[in-house]
Amino acid sequence: MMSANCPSCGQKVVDTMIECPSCGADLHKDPKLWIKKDGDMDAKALEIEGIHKSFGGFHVLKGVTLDVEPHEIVGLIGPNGCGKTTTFNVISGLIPADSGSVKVFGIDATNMKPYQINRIGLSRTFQNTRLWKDMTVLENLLVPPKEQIGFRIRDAILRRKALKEQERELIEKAFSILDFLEISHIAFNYASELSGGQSKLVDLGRVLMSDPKLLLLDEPVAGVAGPLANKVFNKIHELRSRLGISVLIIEHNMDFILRKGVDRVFVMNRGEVLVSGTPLEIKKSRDVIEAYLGE
Amino acid sequence: MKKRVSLKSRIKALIVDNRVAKKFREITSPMFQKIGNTSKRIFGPYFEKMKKAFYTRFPDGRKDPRFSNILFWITMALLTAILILQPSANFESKRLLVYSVITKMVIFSIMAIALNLHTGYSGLVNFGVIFFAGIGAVGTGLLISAYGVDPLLSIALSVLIAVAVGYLLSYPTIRLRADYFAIVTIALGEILRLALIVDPFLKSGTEKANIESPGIANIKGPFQDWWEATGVTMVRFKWTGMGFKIETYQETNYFFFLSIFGIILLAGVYVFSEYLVNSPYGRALKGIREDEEAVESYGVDVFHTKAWILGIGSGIAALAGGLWAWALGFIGPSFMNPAASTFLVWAAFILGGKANNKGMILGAYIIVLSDQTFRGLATLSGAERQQNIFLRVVDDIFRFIVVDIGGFLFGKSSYEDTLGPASSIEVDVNFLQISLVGLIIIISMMKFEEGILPEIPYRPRKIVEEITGKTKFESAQEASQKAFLEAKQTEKPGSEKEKTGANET
Ligand SMILES: Nc1ncnc2c1ncn2[C@@H]1O[C@H](COP(=O)(O)OP(=O)(O)OP(=O)(O)O)[C@@H](O)[C@H]1O
Ligand SMILES: [Mg+2]
Repeated sequence: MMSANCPSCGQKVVDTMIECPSCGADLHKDPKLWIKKDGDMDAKALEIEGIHKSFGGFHVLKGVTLDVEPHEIVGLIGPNGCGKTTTFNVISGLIPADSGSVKVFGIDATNMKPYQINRIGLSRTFQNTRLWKDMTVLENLLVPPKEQIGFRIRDAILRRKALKEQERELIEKAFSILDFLEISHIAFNYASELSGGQSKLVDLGRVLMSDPKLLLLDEPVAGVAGPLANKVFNKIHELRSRLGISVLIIEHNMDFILRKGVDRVFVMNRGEVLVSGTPLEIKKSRDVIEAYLGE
Repeated sequence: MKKRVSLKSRIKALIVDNRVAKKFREITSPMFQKIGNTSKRIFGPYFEKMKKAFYTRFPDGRKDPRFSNILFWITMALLTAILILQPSANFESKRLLVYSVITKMVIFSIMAIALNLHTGYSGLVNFGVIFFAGIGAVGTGLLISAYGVDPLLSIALSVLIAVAVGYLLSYPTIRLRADYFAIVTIALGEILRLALIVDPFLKSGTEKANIESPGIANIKGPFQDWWEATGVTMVRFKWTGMGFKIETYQETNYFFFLSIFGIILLAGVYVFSEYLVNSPYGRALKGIREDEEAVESYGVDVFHTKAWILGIGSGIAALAGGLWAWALGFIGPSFMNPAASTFLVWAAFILGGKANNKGMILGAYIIVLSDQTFRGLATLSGAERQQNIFLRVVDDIFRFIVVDIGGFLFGKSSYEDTLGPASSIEVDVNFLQISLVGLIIIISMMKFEEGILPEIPYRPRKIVEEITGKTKFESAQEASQKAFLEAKQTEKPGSEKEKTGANET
C-alpha cells in the first residue's frame, strides 16, 4: 500500500485508487505519483472512531471505536443483534453514520460512497452472501476486478481486442482463485444453484478478485460445515501471509474465533465495544462472559 | 335447510376431494399408462438417443449459444414464410404487406432491444418505452415538417435529445424502487401523449397540418421523393402456368426502402447492444439487476452506470420512434396509445426472452405478424367473415358466453337490448387481439418465464478449456455420475443381480 498526495487537490490518496475521491482526478495513469514514503506503512488499515447510528428511535451503534493494523487479522464478536453488521455497513459506506469517523489506510472515508471506499482497497462480504443469483459463478467473479477496460462504454464498444485479452486474463485469475478455494467445478453453475457453504466460498472468491488490501468478512463460515470452516480460516491465514492483507472478521461463535489464531478481538454488546485484546486476554475478561451468559 | 347444507357439503366434497376427477383418473389412468408404456417401449430408445445426442452437442439446451442461434434463425425463417404466404389481393398489395410488416418488425425490435437494455439487463422496469420512442418520433417529425431539417440529421438530433433526457431522468429517479420507477415511466408516456392532444404547437404540428385532427403531418423520410419518383428495378419470377417467366418491375414503394434501411439500422443496434452487454460494463449492469448494493460495494459507480444505460436505451428507443415517424408520415396521439405500443413491446420482450437481444427480434416479429393478421381479420365482414373458420369459432364461443350463459343468468333482454338478436352478435377483432396479447403475456409469465430464447449464461467453455483442461468445468454431479458408471462397468455381475431383483418385485 503506497500513498501520496493528489497532484490536483493535495488530498491523500493510495495506489489502488483510480480517481481522487475528492476532486475526481485520474490517478492510475501517473506512475510518478507513487513514490514510496516511510510513514506510509504506519497508517492503520482501518480506524473507526465514535460511530453512532440510530434507525428511527432505535440507537443501534453507540460510539463504536475500533482499528485494524496492517497485516493483522482481527475478530469482531458479539451476540445477535449487537450491531456488528451495522458497523460493517457503516464502514463500507452502505449506510451513513450519524456521527463519528472512518479512516481507511489513513484516508478519511466517512462520507465516501461504497464504490469509492472499495477503490481505496477495502472489500467486504455480506452475511447473507448477496451473490448475483442469475449469473454464473464465474461471471460473479468477473465483476469485482478493478480497472477493467470495458467499464467505460466507449472502450466496451471500440476496444474489442484488448477486451478479449483482458477477459482471458481475468478468467485465468478467477480459476486460480476457484482452485485455491477448491470450487472450480462449480464455475459454470448459476449462483442461485449453490448450497449455503458453496455460496460463502464463492463470496470469498468474489472478494478476492477485487485485490483487496483490507478484507471485511461478515460471518464467513456461518452455515459452513466444521472441517470446511477450518479450511476457510486456514485460507484466510494463507492469504494474509501471501498477499499481506488485513482482515476484520465478524463471527458470533466466540470459542471458535478464539481458537482460530486471530491477532486481536473486539467484543461488542448492544452497540458498544465492551473490550478488546488478544484472544488470551479476552478469555480472561469477565465482562465478556457476562455479556454472553449474564443477565 | 338440512338438505341445502348437505347439498353444499356434497358440492364441497366434489370440489375439495375432487371425486369426479378421481373417478375419471381411476378409469383412464391405466389406459393412459398402457399407451404411455407402449409408446415408451417403441419410441423411448430413439427418444433417449436423440435427447442424449442433443445434450452432448448442446449441453445447456436452449441456453446454449449455438442452439439458441439455430432456433432463432429457424423461427425467423418460419415467420418469414408465414408472412410471405399471407393472403392478399395481388402482387402489389402483397409487396406492400411484406415491406410494411418488416418495417414495423424492425421498429418494434429496436424498441424491444431498448426495453431489454433497461429492464432485461439492468432491472429498470420501464413501462414507458413509448415515451422515449415518442421523443424520437415527435422530434424527428417536428424537425422535418416544421423546420425542414434533413431527415437523417433530424433523427440523429432526436436520438441525442433522447439520450440526454434519459440520462437526466436518472437524477430524480435513481433512488426510486423498481416499481416506483415503472410508475414514473408510465406517467411520462401519458404526459407526452396528452401533450400531443392538447399542446397547440404539437397539435397543429405545422401550418400545413389539419388543425382539426391533432398531429404532425407531412413527415418525409430520407430520399422519399426521389424514391417514389424513380425507385429501383427489380426482377421477378412469375409463374405462368407453363413455367417461370422473368419479369422486371419498378419498385417505388417507399416501405421497401424503409424496410431495407431499417434492417441495416437494426443490425447496427443489435451489434452495439451485444457489444455493450457482453463487456465488463454489461456485467456491471447485470449485477445491478441482481443486487445493486453488492455491485456498488465492489467498486462500480452504480449511479453513472445506470444513468448511461437509461440514456443509451432511450436513445435507441428514439431511433425506433424516428423510423416510425418516417414510416407513418404523420404523428398523432393515437400512435402512442399504450395498447398499440408499450403493451406490444412488452409482449415481444416477455415472449422473446428477456436479456436476450435475439429474442427481442423474434418476439417483435411474432407480435407484429400476429398484429397484422388480426388487422386483416378485422377488415372482414358479412359473408367473408362467415367463411373464416377462426372467426366463426370465436364468434360461437362469444355467443355462448353472452347469449347462453349471460342470458340464462340475467335474462334474454340483458343482451338483446344492447347487442341486438343473438345471430348478429360478433366479436370486435381489435379487442380480441388486445385480450389475446394480454393472455400471451400472462401465460408466458406464468408458464414460460424465460421466453423462447432464454438469457444465455456466461459459460466461456472454449477459453476455460484452454486455460484449465477439460475436466475443470464438469459439474460435480457429472463427475460423480461418471464415477458411478465406471464403477458399474467394472462390477458387472453385481448389477445383473440388481436387475433380476427389480424384476421380481
Ligand atoms: N436498516 C435497518 N433498519 C432498522 N433497524 C436495523 C437496520 N439494520 C439493522 N437494524 C437493527 O440493528 C440491530 C443490529 O443489527 P445487526 O445486523 O448489526 O446485528 P448483528 O450484530 O450483525 O447480529 P447477527 O449476529 O445476528 O448478525 C438489530 O436489532 C437490527 O434490528
Ligand atoms: Mg450480522
